Amino acid sequence: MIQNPSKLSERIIKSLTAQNTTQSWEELMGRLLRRLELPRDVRTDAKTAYERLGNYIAARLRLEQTDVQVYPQGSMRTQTTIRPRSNENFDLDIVVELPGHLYQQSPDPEVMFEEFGQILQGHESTTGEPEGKRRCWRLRYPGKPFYFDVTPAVPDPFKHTGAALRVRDPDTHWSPTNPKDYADWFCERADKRFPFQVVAFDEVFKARANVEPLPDEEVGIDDILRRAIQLMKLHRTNVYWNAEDWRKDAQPISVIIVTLATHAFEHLYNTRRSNFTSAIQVVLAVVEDMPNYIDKRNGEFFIANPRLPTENFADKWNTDGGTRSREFSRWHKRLEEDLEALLVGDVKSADEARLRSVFGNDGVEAWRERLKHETEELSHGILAGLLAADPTRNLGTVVQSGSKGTLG
Amino acid sequence: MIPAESITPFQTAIRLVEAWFEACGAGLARKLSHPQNTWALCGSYHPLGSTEVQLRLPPDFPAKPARVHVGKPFFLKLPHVEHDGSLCLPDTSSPGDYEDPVLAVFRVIQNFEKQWVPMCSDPQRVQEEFQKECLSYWSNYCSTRRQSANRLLAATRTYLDLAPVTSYAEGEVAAYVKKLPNDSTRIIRQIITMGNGDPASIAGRHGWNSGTLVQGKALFVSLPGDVPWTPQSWPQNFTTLERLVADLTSGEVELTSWVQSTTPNKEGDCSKATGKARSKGKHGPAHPDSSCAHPFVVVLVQGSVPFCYQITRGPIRGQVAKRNGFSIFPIEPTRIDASWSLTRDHAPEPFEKRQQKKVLVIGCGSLGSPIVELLARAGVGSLDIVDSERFDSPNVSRHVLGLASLGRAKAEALAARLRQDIPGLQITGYQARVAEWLARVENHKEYDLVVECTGESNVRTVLSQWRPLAFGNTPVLHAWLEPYCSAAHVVLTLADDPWPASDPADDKVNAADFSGFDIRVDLPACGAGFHPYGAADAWQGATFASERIIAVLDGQCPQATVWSWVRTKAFYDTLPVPGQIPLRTIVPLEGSRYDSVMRTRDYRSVMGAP
Repeated sequence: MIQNPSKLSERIIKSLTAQNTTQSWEELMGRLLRRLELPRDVRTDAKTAYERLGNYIAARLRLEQTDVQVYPQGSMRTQTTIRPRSNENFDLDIVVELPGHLYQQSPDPEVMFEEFGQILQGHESTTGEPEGKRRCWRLRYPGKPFYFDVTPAVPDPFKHTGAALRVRDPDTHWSPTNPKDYADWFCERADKRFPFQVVAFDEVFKARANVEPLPDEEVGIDDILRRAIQLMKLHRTNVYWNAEDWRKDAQPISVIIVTLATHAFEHLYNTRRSNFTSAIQVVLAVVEDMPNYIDKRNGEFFIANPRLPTENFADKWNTDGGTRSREFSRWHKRLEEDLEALLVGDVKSADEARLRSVFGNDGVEAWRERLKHETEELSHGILAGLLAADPTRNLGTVVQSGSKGTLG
Repeated sequence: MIPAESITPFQTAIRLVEAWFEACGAGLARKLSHPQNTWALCGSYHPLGSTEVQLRLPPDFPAKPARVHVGKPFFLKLPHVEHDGSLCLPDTSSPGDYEDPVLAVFRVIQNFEKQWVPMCSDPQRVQEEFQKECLSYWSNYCSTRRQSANRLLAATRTYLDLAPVTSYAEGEVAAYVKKLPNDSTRIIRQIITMGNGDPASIAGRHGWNSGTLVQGKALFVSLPGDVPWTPQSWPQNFTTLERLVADLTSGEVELTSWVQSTTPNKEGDCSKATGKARSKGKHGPAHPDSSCAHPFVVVLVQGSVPFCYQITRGPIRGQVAKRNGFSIFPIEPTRIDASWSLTRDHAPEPFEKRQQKKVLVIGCGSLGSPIVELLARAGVGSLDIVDSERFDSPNVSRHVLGLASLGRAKAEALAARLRQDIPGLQITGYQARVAEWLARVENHKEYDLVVECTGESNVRTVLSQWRPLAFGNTPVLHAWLEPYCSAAHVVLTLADDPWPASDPADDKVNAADFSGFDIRVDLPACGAGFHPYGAADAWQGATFASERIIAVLDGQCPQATVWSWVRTKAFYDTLPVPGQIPLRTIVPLEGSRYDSVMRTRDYRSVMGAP
């Protein structure tokens, strides 16, 4: 009798539970993903930079500053940014919403796009030479750890698509978009907390309340959906790093990964939220479940923008002879295999090469850091106790040293 | 002696720490009954497993900081562990420790828990730490081996005359052996040279030659800087040493063959090892059954640091003797070569140049003798001293020699003492008056500099007369003190700017005119007397002169120059002379009697003034 092989998440969870390694893997992933996040100071720096850019654009257009809205979209807005490999700069997506009256007569989007490009001129010492892309202008900001893809958008006077804005698209003329609505949809779901998370937090809080304040650094995977998406994006980057160009071009795009994962996450939350006991379990279930949200409509792939149902994120899948859908399946399969190969082992004895191939050098670094942290954890010093027993004595005070410039 | 009832600052500090631990340390540290002033720390430290960590206050705490003991098993296993199991942590002591000794203890524990423990949790850092201070660990390793049962197999002391080694080279060993009460023999001292001198004559020169001389051989092998030298990597038996030597010499030297084929001959064979060709040589193996086998030493040289192994025949306890019965014993040699003894290998280039210099010093009295000694210690390679006097007891007060040299010629006695004390120095003392010494050999043009410091007018005159004939273009430097050591002058003269035969020291150079005063203390003998000043005064003049002589030798003073060190008018005012001493303008009018000035003047402008 042939038995159905058990599901991926079940197999891995069984192994994690048997070996009691769930927590250490979660801690490693948390550590890794925090390394890859957009650092707080870079985020602040970027915010200052795009606000300045907005003021500059307003001034060039002789408008009030409030008439030009500049805000992030994409991963910066959903907080799922990952640091690119090889210390390349963060890719941050910015929308510049121009006031409607400028383009009320529905001019040619090409004119709007070109005019906007010209507005960006004259600022090269700060922004670098603007470089036109399909929907956006790239500003490289030499010397900064990020670059902006600035998309000019204007209000859609007809709103017939349900989108508030429209942008230039070389293929479709005007293209509707709603970056804020999409991000709101994502964040509403990502902010949900599973019951096990609430309990765990309370326990930690109670245990530590009398001993020491909560550490600044978060531990493990707190923000499950965001972390899961970062993990998948990282894995995708590493899988396609050395791929041929045609294959690279066909790799799953971020918005598809985000959309499918969010649907899966929401479904798990709504239907089985009490069945989960660890973040890693949720991550695995999300990974397993996400392909189920690729729709077929009239024989065509359809991944709808949840807040702009006419927009199909997978429209290219239907015109490339199946390349993109095959690449999605290939990547997804590989993700499952890699997660299984990695997670069935112990963190300590993880295969460094596999770690690198899945999570890159940052993954290996985070792993090493964690091992070191673990050995330190096993040491319980008495210094803190000594200092607590005598608060009058402060090791931070400057130690008076004797003279150093006297020789004999 | 401190009265029994007084409490010393150390006892006070220890009591304060004790009281603190008693009051606040429950659950953190537990006082032990033995050893004294020791607490067990109630922490657990991953790198140490379940070992009990102790904190000890030395009897002179806090002059010496508190020590953390992790135990002997971690010696050479974890960095900064001494052979007694204590930790050598960075010194955090501060003058405030007497007031707050508890904080001093906290800082030691902080160092231990926040620096040392995390460092030991990282295997890579452990290796890095070992390499960073490899000499200390090697030294510790050698000293613990010296305390082992096999210690008699290695020399008690090893002195090494090291020269730069590029690949490998053979050297000589002179070992001095004594019989022990049990009829066995032991090398008391061995001197190793690297083809740059006979070790036995070096031993004789420095008085290290007591015992029976046995000659041996050394093999010097360069150890590149990137080869790690840690307890985990250095050879601990003959086989690994042999493998290392083979690796370092690209297979040219096979240690077994080298030892078997190299029988030292009496003439001291300094030829370079020729590797395998030599290993197949005609010399038979040394006789292991001879009363004392010829010593063999392997010296691995990393930069300026030598790591030595004595190769012994027969098994060493704890080591399996290999097929040829060779064992090794790590030894820590003391480098005795000039480069190390005089400069610690620092700034080798000017030192090498000084080593090539040859200087004649005329006059070996209260000014000359310290000058000779300072030049020798500064690395001047070759010195000749001429002085006609013998050492007399009152010379003790301001000469570098003492009663041990009573009755000996000053120049010869000083040369003998410095030859014994300063490695590599070529020094000869001549007991002669300058005039007769010059006449004896006319040509002395090999000198780089002639230093005259007799303070005698007629010697300066003799030199002026002889200069072209005896010294050619060699610069001549005159140094003298003025009465009461009120001033010192150093006059560098060149062939084109010679010192005039008229000897115008008083008129042109000196700071004061003492001619109207009888300032010499006369003795009841014909022309005998002395000027009253002490070594502290004269040696100020000697150091002033020596600094400038060294600068001249280093090529920093191409022009004829007059240097003067002159005390202030206030000093002259205190002198026991009747009336005012006429002072020249160089004497500072301001300042206390302890002040002085140092001046550099162009020779021609000083001498040209009418």
